[in-house]
Amino acid sequence: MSSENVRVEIATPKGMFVGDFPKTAKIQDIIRTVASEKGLNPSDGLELVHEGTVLQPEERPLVSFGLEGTVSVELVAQGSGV
Amino acid sequence: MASAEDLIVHSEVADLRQVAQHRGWELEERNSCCLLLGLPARDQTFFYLLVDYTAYRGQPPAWHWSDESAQRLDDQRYTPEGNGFLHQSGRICAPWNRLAYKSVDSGGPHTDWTLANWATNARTGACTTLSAMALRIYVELNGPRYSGRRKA
Repeated sequence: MSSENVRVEIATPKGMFVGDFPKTAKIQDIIRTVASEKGLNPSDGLELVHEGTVLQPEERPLVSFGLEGTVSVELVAQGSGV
Repeated sequence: MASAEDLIVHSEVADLRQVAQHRGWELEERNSCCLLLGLPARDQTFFYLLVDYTAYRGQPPAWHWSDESAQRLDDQRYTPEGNGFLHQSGRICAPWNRLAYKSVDSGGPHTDWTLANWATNARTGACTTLSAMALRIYVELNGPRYSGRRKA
């Protein structure tokens, strides 16, 4: 894997997705890619979470969150608990 | 012959098993409609949930906090402290948890939700698969709303 890429291992509502993305890939683009691959609707309120922290704003690239090498994240349906 | 609904549930369990294996979570299928799931929290505490998906998808699954042998359910000693989804009632407070409905469980906080409409409840959002629900719980156990294991 190129050092310009990040391997992202994503636990999703429909199983695992593993993909290499450029460091400069925006969070929103990763969500769209994974949603498309997994048959999810990206407008359904999905968010990427890394070690308990939501990766927002989604316009920011992977590298701006300090994510390099291989990282594990979760693609989570927001919902709400009240 | 398996129904279409059975096949969907089977596929959802397979998805959840894949995530659990990859993440090192514990998952034990106890029978055709029940599994025990172990999830780590951010303080390294492991929490267990007995997931009863009888009558799922017509009804949401029941997510019971449990001990690791699934002998003690909904016991404060095996329940996380927190807020939001980690409700003070000791039940996961979401339309996708059957135990959140007072009509099902006297400890359930909600009388204003309809069990049969769980999947279309606005608060369910896209949390409509077993894996999505488990991930939501995992994120809550590893996020700022979690504050440790409850005291007995």
